Amino acid sequence: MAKKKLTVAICSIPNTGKSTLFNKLTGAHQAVGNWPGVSVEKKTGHFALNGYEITLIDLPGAYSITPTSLEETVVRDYLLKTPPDFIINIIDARNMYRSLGLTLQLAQSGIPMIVSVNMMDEARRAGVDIHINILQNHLGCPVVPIVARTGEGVKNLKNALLETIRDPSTLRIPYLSRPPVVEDAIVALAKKLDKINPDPALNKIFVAERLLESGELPKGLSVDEETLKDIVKEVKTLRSRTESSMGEMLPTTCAQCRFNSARGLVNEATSETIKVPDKITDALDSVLLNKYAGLPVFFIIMFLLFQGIYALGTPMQNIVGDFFIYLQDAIRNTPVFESLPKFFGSFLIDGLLNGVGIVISFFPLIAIFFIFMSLIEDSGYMARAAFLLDRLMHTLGLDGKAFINILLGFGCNVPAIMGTRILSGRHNRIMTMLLIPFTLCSARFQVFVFLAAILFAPSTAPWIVFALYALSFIMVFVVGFILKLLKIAGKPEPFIMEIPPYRVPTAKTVSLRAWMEMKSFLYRASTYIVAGVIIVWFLTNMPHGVEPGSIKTWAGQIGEFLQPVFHPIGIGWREVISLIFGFVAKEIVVGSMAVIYGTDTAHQILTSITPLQGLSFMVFILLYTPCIATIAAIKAESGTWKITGLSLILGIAIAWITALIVYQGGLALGFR
Amino acid sequence: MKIVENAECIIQSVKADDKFGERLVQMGVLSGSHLKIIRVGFRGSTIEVMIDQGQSMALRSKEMEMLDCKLIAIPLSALSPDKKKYKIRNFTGGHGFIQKMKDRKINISDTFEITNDHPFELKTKHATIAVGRGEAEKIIVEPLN
Repeated sequence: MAKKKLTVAICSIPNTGKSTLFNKLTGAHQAVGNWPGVSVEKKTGHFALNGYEITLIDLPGAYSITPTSLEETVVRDYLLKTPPDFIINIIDARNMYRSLGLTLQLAQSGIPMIVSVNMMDEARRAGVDIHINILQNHLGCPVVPIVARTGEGVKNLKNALLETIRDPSTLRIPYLSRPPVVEDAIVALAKKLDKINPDPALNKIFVAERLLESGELPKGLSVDEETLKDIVKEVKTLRSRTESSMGEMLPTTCAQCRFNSARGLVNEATSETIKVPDKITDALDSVLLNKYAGLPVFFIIMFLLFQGIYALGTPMQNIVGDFFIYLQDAIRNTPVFESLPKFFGSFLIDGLLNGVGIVISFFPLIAIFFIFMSLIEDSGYMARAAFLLDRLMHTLGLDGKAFINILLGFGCNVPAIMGTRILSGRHNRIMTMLLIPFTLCSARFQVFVFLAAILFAPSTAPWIVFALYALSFIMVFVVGFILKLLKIAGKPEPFIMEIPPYRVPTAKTVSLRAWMEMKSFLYRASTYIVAGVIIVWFLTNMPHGVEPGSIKTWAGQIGEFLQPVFHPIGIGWREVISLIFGFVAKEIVVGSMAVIYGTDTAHQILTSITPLQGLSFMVFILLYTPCIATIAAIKAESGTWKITGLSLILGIAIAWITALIVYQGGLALGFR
Repeated sequence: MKIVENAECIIQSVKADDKFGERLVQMGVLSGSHLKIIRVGFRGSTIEVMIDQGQSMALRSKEMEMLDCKLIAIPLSALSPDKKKYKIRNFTGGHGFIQKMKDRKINISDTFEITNDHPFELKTKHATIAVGRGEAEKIIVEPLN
């Protein structure tokens, strides 16, 4: 028998554990974090349920389907245009009021719904007792207590879903009391809607309320011009009538109705126990968000994290690096290898193995980096960082939330730029998108660790890398200031951000996150980094007969052609080649340098670049275009070539100017 | 309203005609909601506010000032002599502090007027009591109409 297919959407307000539940239900591995807005786009997964094939959709977090932000618009449009067969809504057990506004709105939709009350363990610890049956009676749908993190209750949730699929007759739409004038307007409009036939899955009262609130019709309706005009006119009249009689905007009235019900429901369904404040959060915040100590503590934490990554990662990197050198030697000495043509052997060892090996040796460093990063995300400190830095970001016309994206950029620019869609307003999004490429991402970090270790003494090398981090921060603000003065991005927006309670990160979420990043790193290394390394090897070994890696090779010719531009900033032709490949991905810079300089790379680099030239090179790498994927992300998120082009030009221009200042300034001060 | 830590207010109305109000409304912050300022950030521009249902949010003080609120609690230290009546609401200090206040005949729900703020002088029905600045920060009062 063929399985019956059903679509189920998870829909709830931000930071209630949507992604965690999604992972638990589908067995998928999706990034989760303890700050609002981790899921920025809708994701789909599948699972089987007793003969049903379920497609699960994880919608972005939304406070309501009366949209005030981009992700809320995404959710509303999805529900109105392509209603799923079922909705799973999640309520935060620690604070039901904030979740119930949306729950009540969704319950009006007519789409069969199941409510899960998540984080029951944390609520229990806080002394909150929840009467599930009262919630169930009021909401008119099954309510299941769960702990998505541990999986407690998830089986019950699946059972409840199955039962509702088999027999949806138990569901009913809860009553929501509205002022008579609003009720009348909605009912009047609902009657008119028969003419335009909205999706039969949706309750007409629900559609009418959405229509009245937003004043616009759902797109893609097959109605004639006349009816459309008629309805638009009707919406306008009804809306102005209710608004003038209520003395406030209609969305406010509707929200008031919902939240009044929500408040009553919370009072009824929770025990009388006095809510114990989260003592741990209070104690931690009194230090971490302290008016004077907060910022210094933030910078100390950042510094310690950096030291930790460096101290733990570099020894492991050496071990992996040594392994590849051992492997090269081992292969070189095999009889099979000796029988290969010299040209091919050189390609295999000096090209492929040397180039890719050096990139792969950064594997442990990146792993540790992302473990630390997800510790910050999952613990809830991320939102605190946003709070602390809001004041500083405000001088750029941005807000603390934008700072989170910039901080994410230090991991990888691509998800950071994709994450800008959670920011409110086009201004914030465009500004942040243009600033993220100046962050020292983990790929750039590899280049700097690689070069600093070669060019500087072991005691100074970490400080050079740290100074580059500081420069990155400074440049974000400098560029931000320039952009603000140029008024490129438009008007700033108000700032509202939820601050979640602290949470102990679980080993599972942290390792999952680190593993996902590892996988994508390995994927990059095995695909276009390999490709890049191969191309570099050919360019530096062709045409046939010239000395490999010399100025006579194709690579040398390209480098020489561009030399006049790079001469003032002290960058030689070999580095120019690696910069060109750096457009594809920054890891290739390391790989291509390894190929260009051949075996014994470190020694070769040391003899041909001075520390000052190296520094200028690193500054250029820090500031110019991060990689092709970033450019693609900017194009996708901004939707215009103008912003994408601006980002490219801005990066190269600022990189060149800053490198010029560093190099010429360094020369003038007598450095070499 | 005055932006100071430990101040509490009840929202009278939210104008949903701007983005800020629009968003607050959809998050359930409506007229009748109870707000408490739990933290004022460095140089006072960003603040952390606790909403009656226990949700903590970061806002900007500028936008907070624009809200139509009724002040229901404020630390004594944020006030100045204004001939208005106030009531002691609670103390943020520990047992020792509460005992100390008791000894000086300052009790919860006493009404008073502020006659001076350098140092603070509270004129109650029976006496005028001087209070240090540090102590005034821990005395939360409620304005009476």
